[in-house]
Amino acid sequence: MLDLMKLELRKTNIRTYINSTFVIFIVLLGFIYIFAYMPQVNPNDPMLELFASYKNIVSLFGALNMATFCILASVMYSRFVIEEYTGKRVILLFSYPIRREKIFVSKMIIVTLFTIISMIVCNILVYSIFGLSETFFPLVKDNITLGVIQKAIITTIVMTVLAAALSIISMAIGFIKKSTLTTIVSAFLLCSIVTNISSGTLNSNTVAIIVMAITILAAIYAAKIILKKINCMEV
Amino acid sequence: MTTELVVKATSLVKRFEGKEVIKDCNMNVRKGTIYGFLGANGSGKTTVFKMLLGLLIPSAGEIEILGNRSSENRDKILKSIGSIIETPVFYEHLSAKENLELHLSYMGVVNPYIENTLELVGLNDTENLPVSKFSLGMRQRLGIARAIIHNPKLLILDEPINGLDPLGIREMRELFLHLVKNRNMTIVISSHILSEIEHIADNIGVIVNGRIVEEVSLSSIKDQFPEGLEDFFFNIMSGNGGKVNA
Repeated sequence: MLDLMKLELRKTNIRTYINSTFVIFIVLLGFIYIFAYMPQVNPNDPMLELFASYKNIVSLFGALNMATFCILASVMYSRFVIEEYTGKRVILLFSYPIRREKIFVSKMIIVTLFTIISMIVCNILVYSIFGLSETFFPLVKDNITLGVIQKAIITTIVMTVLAAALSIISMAIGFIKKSTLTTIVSAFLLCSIVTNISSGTLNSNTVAIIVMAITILAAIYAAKIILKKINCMEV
Repeated sequence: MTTELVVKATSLVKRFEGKEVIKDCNMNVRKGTIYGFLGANGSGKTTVFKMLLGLLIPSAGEIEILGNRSSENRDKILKSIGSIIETPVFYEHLSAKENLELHLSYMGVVNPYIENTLELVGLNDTENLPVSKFSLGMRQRLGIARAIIHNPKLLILDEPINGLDPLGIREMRELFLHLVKNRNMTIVISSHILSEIEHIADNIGVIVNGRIVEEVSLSSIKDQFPEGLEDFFFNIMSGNGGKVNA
C-alpha cells in the first residue's frame, strides 16, 4: 500500500496542494484576527459580542477552517479520483496487475492524510501565533484559560475528522455523477449544512460529536459504494 | 511456427444495455505470430480488445490468455500483456522516462534499460521534456514503448500507428517484426492501414458487425486474392463472404 501511495504522489504534483495550504494558512490567520477585531468595529452592536469570547472565536474559526480544508480535499479528490476514473486514464489504471480497490484506497489514504496533517499543522500555527499575540497585545476582552485551550484542541480534532469525512462523501457524489464540479459543489453544500449546525450549537461538544459520528458512518458507507462500483466497473 | 495458442476466445458475446455488440466471436492467436485484426469503424474491434484485457466483462463466452482463464487470473494475465487501447494517455508533467518508470513500478517489473526502449521507438533524445510538449506521433511512440517495456508475452495494439508519419510507420513495422522474432512476443494488432497489416501479419481476423467472420492466414489470402489484402477485405465487407480455404 505504501508503494502504491508513493506512486500516486509521483503521478500528481503534490506541491500545488502544499502551496494552497500555505495560502489557506495566511487567509485563516487573517480571519482569526478579523473575528477578534469585530467587536471594536462597532462597540454598540450587541451582535458582534459573539466575537468577544475566545471559545466562540475558536468555534467560528473551526467551522471556517473545516469548510476550507474540506473544499481543498474535494479538489484533491477531483484530481486523484474523479479525473482518473472518469477520463481515459482509467483504461491505463485498470490495465495494471494490481487489485482495483488497492489503488483506490491508496488514493483515499493520501487525500485523507494530507487533509488531516495540513489542517492540524495549520491550526497549531494559527492558534500559536494568535495566542502569542493575544498574550502581549490582546484584541479580545477575554482570558485564555485551560478551557479555551481544551476547546481549541477538541474543535480542531472534530473539524479535521469532519473535513476528511465530508470530502469523502462529496467525492462519492462526484464519482456517481462523473463530475469534478459536482464533487466541489457537493463539498460546499455539505460544509454549509454542517457548519450551520455547528455554529448553531457553539458550545455543545455533544452535538459536534454526534454530527462527527454520523458523518464518519456516512463517509464509510459512501467509500464502500464507490469501491463496489470500481470493482465491477467496465471501461 | 508453433500451434500453441496465446489467445483463445470462445463464443464471446458482449451486450450493452441489452444490445448485442459482439456476437458469438471465436478468436485464436498462435504463439509467435502477428494477428491482424480488421474491421470497419464500430465493428467491435476495440470491444474485443477490451474484453481480452479484462476492461470489459464478456456477457457470455470464455477467454483464455496464455493458458489462463481471464475470469480467474486477471492479475497474472495483465502482467503478461502490453497494450495500447484507443489514444494512449500519460502523466503530462512527467518526462517519457518518468512515465515509463511509473509504468514499470505498477507492473512490478524492474527494467534498468529504459533508455534502450526509448531508443527502440525513436524517442531517445527527449530527455527531460514533459509529455505535454510531445507531438501526436511522439505520444504514439511512447505508447508503444510503454506497451513493450515490461517485456510482455502478448501485445494488444489498437491502432498503434495512428498519427505516425510514413517513416515512423516503417520503423514501427520493423520494431513489431523484431519483437516477435527476437523477443518471443505475440502481437494482436488492429489498423485501418491495410497495407501495414499486409506487411507484418501472419494471420488475419475480420470482424463484421460484432462477429469474427474470417480467421485465416495471410498466405492463403494472397493465394486467392493476388491483388492483396484490400481486395479480400472489401470482398468481405461487401457481404460476398470472401471465404478463403485456410
